[in-house]
Amino acid sequence: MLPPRRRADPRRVLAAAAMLAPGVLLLALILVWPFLVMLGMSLRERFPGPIGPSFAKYAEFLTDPYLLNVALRTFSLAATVTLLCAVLGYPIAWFLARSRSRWAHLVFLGTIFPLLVSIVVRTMGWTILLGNEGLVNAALTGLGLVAEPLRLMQGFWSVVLGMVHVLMPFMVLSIAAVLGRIDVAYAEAAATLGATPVRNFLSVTLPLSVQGVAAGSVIVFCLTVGAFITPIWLGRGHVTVMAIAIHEQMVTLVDWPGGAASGILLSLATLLLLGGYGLLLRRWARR
Amino acid sequence: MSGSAKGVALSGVAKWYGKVPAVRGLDLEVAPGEMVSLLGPSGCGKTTTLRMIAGLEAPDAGEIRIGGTRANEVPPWRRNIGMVFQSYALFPHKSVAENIGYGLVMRRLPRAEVAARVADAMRQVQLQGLDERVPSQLSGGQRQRVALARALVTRPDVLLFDEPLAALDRKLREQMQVEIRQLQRAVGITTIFVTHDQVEAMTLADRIVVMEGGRIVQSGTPGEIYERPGSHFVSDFIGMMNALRATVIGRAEDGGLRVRLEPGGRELAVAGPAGMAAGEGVELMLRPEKVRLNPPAGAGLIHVGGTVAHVVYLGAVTYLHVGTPDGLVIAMLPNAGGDAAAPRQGDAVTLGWRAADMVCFAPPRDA
Amino acid sequence: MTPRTGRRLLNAYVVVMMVFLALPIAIVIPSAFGEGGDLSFPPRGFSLKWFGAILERPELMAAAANSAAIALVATAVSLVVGTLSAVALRRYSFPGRGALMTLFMAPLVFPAIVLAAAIAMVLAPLGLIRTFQGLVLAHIVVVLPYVVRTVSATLAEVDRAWEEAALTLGASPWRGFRTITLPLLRPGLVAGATFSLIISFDEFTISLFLVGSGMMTLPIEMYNYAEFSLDPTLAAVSTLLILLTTLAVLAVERTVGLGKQFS
Repeated sequence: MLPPRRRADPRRVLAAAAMLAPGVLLLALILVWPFLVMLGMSLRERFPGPIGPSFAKYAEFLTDPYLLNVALRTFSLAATVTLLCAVLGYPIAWFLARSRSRWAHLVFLGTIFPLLVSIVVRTMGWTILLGNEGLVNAALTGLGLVAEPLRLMQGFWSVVLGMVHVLMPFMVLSIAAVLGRIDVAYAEAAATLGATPVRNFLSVTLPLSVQGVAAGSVIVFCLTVGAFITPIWLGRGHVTVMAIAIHEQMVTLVDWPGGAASGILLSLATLLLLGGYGLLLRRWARR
Repeated sequence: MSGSAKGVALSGVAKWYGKVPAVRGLDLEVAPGEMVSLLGPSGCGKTTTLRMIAGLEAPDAGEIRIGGTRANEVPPWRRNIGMVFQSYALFPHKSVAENIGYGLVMRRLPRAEVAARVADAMRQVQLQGLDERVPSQLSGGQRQRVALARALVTRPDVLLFDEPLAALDRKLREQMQVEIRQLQRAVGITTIFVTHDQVEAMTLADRIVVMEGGRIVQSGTPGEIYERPGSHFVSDFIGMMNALRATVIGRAEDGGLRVRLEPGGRELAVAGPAGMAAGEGVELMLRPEKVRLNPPAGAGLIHVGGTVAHVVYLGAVTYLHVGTPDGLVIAMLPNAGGDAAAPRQGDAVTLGWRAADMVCFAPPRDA
Repeated sequence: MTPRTGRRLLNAYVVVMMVFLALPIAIVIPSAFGEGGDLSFPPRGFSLKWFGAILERPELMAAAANSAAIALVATAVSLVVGTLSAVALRRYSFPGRGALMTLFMAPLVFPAIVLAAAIAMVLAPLGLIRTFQGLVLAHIVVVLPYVVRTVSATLAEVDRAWEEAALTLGASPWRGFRTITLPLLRPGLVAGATFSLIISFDEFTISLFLVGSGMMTLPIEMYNYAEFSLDPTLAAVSTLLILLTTLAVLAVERTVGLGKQFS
């Protein structure tokens, strides 16, 4: 006896379709359609101008040293931020997942808090801290450690600081979710087999939690690559990343096709990363 | 009151999950008021069958009739069944009374009647006074009863259990088994329950349906299944068994088979299935309690001598593992007390049993 | 190193990190109470005048009202659409389900600037720039993933057995959803709504491309204000925002708990 050809139950298909219709429609209008419009714009030579398609703007991007430099800086920024978030965030995730302290709740709230505060407020805070008349400089000059206030808010590292500050929660929560699911029994078994705490962690818990680190890293990387406001304000114009370049192209230079092309390339990079991560997930799941 | 007891009939029912057949061409008839157990190892298709009767899964082939009416196209909420889930599935956000009354509310009965019937049901399962409790505040046994009351209060045509007592510890399980049986008899409702526990099946069921690999392997009363299993699988699944190997050497005068035990070589006459040819291998199954220790000679028994290899004392009974020329034979001896000391490891003993107590069937395929 | 020392070190580290995470936000608050007209720290004197100064800034008040209204409408729509979508994605299997889930989550990781420019490009010819409707539409897309994620996570906790039990007890799928699933989804809905309100209120990048005189949101109005002077009025507004956010998060945490909502 062979399995019959499966006719999907029309009732269920209709129900599912009805439930998904509003969401899909919304996203099609406000996400997919704009993206397609942008794609179309990127395939023009100039706007207003002929419809194209023309890859002129893409070619421009790939041969423009300024833009390539910006891309490089963007990715190195993202890599730095991701690495720092992973290293700094892992212990916090450990605390959240393993600690039975009653402060765990507060720590959780404290971790997600930066997410829920507006970028304007955060920037004000950084200005108060790192600005020329800010707290840090006041302390340093007050203690006589420096003669003049340091220019702390216009570099790669102030941007890194700001991004790590706001993106840490994503990393911490990703890792904590995975750590929370790892049975403590594994580490206990390793301990009875003679593993010292450090080796225990490195050989048992860390490998098992890699998925959480990977998930968090993908999110943090994607978000950093697309960051706009924080690099502008905490870099004071000295840290130009892709998002800023796109803004330049679109608003300052009114080069919509160019900006669109840069935007599409940036989006492609993000999509590739997500896709690659998805494939990795499926490979892991099959193991 | 059994006014609405209805029978359940499955004919040619089959279900695939992807390319994997979970249930193959099943034919089953449950009489009104009968309590039937679907028994088998995990993956045999018993739960899938139950869910198809409930309407939670749709069969890919065949027909399901409840009370004589075709039910394939009837969705679960119109089948008037009661189902007790393995995890009980008590609604966590509703009180005990609300849980039990849910089915009545769905049938849009007036509030006064709902309250009255809920109170009745709670009394029936001995849960008085727990109306306002929430499931998380109940013990395992109490949750069981709530699940039972919830399924019964709507006076369904059929009652379905999915591994009803698996989550309970032994004492509670045994107690619930008795209660469920009494309840079912009092209400007279057609009941089908799924279990992998043969003791549960034997305790509760009027009839046991043994399943394997998506098919019904044997169906009968507990006594029939136990005493006359039709295959190695069934006899191994229910109770303990001794399996002796033999080869067919011909037909006996009374229509049975003459077989030669391997490796011992002794020849016996046993009742055997038709169609077995000389030279074929068979398995002779013998229940341990049919084996007698050191029986008097000449009592019409088959006698075998051997050495005790292992003794397992279980309080009420003792199992003797005896090595004999025909293979290992396990005997079960009741500890009625007052006897001479039981044999010890290394003792030489004689075992005896009647030829008629042996059941003969084909050996398992992967032997 | 004994486990005790290890734990103490970890605790100390967590405390340091908590300070790091809280400091840039908390440090704004004292300035709102200072006498002086700048944002230096520590503030000099004590005065509540900057809170009063907010009322003298009609543009800030108008922007705040806009932001609130946009947040409410965007949240309401997202709750309905997001819940339906989350349930459909979780409870039905069909080809392309994974891709669709990714689509719903995409606005979260998509480069905000690209999204902003693209949406602006689409809304401009439709005349929806500088309008309430345009901003609401854009905010819905930003906020929807949060609702879908929290509802989805909560839905995973709703045992299917409960829904099936409801079916066997005579509830049609819709009645079962209403009486069993939806009440059990409440924590996810509350958490999702709270995040949605806050995220929408604080949204900057996409709003930047869609606002203009006559239709401003608070973050951008604050930004414009800061271009002129970084005076404590903004610190006062920030303090109020921080206070509101903290209260909202604490309220949600107390009533429904946030623990599982974020995985």
